Amino acid sequence: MANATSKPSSNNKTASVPSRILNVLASIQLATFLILALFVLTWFATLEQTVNGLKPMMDKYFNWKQLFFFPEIGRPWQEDGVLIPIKIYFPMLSGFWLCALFTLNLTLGGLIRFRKTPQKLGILLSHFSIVFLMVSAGVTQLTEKRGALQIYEGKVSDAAQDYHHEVIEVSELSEGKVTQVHLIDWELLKDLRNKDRERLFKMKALPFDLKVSNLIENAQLTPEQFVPPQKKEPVLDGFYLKKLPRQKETEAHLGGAEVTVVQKDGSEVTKLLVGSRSLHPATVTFEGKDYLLRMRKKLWPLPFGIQLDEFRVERDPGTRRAAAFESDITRLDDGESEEVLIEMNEPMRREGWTFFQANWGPQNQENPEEYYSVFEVVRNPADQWPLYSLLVSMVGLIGHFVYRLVLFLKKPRKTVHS
Amino acid sequence: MNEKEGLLVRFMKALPLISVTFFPLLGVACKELPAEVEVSETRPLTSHDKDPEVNASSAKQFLPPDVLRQVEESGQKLGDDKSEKQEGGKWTYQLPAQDWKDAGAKMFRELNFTFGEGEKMGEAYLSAVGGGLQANIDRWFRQFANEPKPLDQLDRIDFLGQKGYLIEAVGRFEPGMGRPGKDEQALLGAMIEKGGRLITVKMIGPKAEMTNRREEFLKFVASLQQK
Repeated sequence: MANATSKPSSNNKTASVPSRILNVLASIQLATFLILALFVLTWFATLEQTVNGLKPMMDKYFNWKQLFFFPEIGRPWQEDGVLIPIKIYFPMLSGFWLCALFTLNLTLGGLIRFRKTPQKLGILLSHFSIVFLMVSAGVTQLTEKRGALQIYEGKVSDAAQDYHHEVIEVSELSEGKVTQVHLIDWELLKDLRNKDRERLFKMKALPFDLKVSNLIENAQLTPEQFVPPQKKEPVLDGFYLKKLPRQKETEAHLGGAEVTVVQKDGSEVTKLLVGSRSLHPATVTFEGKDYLLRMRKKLWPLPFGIQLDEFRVERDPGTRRAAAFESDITRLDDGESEEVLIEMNEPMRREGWTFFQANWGPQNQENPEEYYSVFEVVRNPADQWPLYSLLVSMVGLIGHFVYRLVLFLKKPRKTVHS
Repeated sequence: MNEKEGLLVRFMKALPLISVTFFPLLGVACKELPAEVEVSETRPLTSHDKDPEVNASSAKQFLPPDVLRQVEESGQKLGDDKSEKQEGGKWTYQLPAQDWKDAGAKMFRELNFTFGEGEKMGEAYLSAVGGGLQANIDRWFRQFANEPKPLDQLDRIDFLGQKGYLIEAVGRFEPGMGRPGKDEQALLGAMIEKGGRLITVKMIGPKAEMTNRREEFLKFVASLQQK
C-alpha cells in the first residue's frame, strides 16, 4: 500500500503546524479515505450516466471549477425510456480534486517519504506508475481534442469537428471565396444556453459586432408556416428556433441562436437566426461587403489532408448489421502522399493525431451509391501514457513478487521430525 | 536539520503561498463572463470553407433539399424571398433585384442598400431630411457639376402617394465631406415634401450600370410605403 512504510517526520505532539499538515497529506488514512471516495464517486457516476449521458456526467464529476456537487441518479421504478433524474443531497467531492489530492498523497507518501531501499524498488515503481497514470488522466482532461471526421469516397478533408463544442463563425469573403474566419468560441457561449441571457461580442478585426441571445442547446430551425410556434418563440424571416428534447448522448445536440449584427456605435443593423443544423451560412452585407455567418460544431484543422479512397463493409449474413468495416485512405501532406488502411482497433497515428475507424454510412441502404466513412480523431499528448504506466507497474510488481518469492524459497525451513 | 528535512520544511513554507495563489485563481475561474466580450480568435482555412453558398435564403439554409424542392414545387414561398415585401424601420418595400443588399441603416440613411460588385458597385438609400426642395435638388446637381434645374423642368414620378420629383444627373460625383470623388457616375433621385420634411431616395453608381438599372430604381420607389 502506498504509505505503509511512511514515517512521521517528528513526534506529532511537538511537530509544527506545516509538519502536521504534511503528515496528514502523506498519510495512509488519507489514502484510504480518497480511495473510498473515488469508489463512491465511480458508483454515482455509473448511475448518473444512465440518465444524464456520459459527457455531461464527466463534465460534472471532473469539473475542476467546483469542489463538490450533488449527484443525480435515475428515479427507481420509472417507466421504460423515461429519464427523470433525482438529486441526491449528498455532497460529493469533485473527482478532479479527489484525483489531484490522491496524486499529491501518493507522491508525498508513496514516493518522497517512501523508504528507498533496493528491496522496495518494485513497490516504488508501482507507486510511480500510479502517479504517472493520474498525471496522464489530468493532461488528457485538460488538453485532449476529440472530434469526428466524416468523408465521402473520393473526397478530401483536412478538419475534424468537435463532438460537443459549438462556435459562431464569421467568414470574410473576397470574390465569393472565404479569406478569413473569425470565431466566437464555445467557452464564451456556453453559459448563455437555455437562459434568457445575451452577450455582446466586440469583434476586434471586423467593422461590426455581434450580439448573441436565445441560445438553445438543441434546436431545430422551423418554418412557422408549417409548424406554428407553440411557446411564442420569436419568428425571424419565417423561421423560429424550436427547442428539441435533451438527448442522453449530448453529441447529438445541435444548437441554435439569435444573432444581431450591431454597428460599432451600438445601433442594431439586422437580426437573424443561426443553427448548427443549417445547411448553408447566412449572408450579411455590411458597408458593401459580404460576410458569412454560421453556427457549427467547432472545427479542428488537421496538419494534413485525408482522402477516402475506398470504404468496405462486411455485413452479418442476412442482416444490414456491419460485422467489420475499414477504409483505404491517402494522407496528403505538402505534396507527399501516403496510403494507409484504417480498420477497427487499428488506428492511424500521425503527427500527434490518432484516427480511429468509428462509423460509416448510409446504413439504411442495402447498396448505397456512395459510402462515407467516419473517423474519430483524437489529439492527446498523453495518448500512450496509460500504456507506459501499466508497463512500469507490471515490471515493478513482477520484480517485487519475484523478489519475495526468492526470499521465501531461500528462507530456512524447520525440519519436521516424526 | 538534515538535507531531507530542509527540503520538507521549504515545501511546507511554500504551502501557504500555493494556497494564496490557488484560491484567487479558482475565484477567477468561477467568475461569470461579462455582458461584453472582445473577440479576436480566428482559425486557419480548411476544406470546409471551399465553395461557400453566398446569399442563401433562410429556406435554403434551414430546410433539407428534398423538403425545399417540395415547397418550391407547391408554389409556396418561405423566408426571405426577395420579391416579397421587406421591412426596414418605418418603411416597407420590395427589392427590385437579387443583388440589392441591405447595407444597414446609418445616420441620415433609414434604408441603405448596395448593388453590383467591384467596379460596378453602387448604392441606393432613403433619407428623411430638413430643408427646402429646390435647395436640396440644387445641391444634388452640384455634386455632379451639373447645372441646377428649376422644379418645373423636372420629371415627376409616383412616390409615397404623391407626385415626386425625379432628379437625374451624370458626371464626376463629388460627395463632399472630404470623401474622394469619382468620374463617370450617374444619379437617379426622387424627392417629395411630407410632414415638413423631405423624403428622398438617392441612387448613385457607375454611369453604364445606372442606365441598366433605371427600371430597378423606379420599381423600388414605386414599392415604398410608410408603415
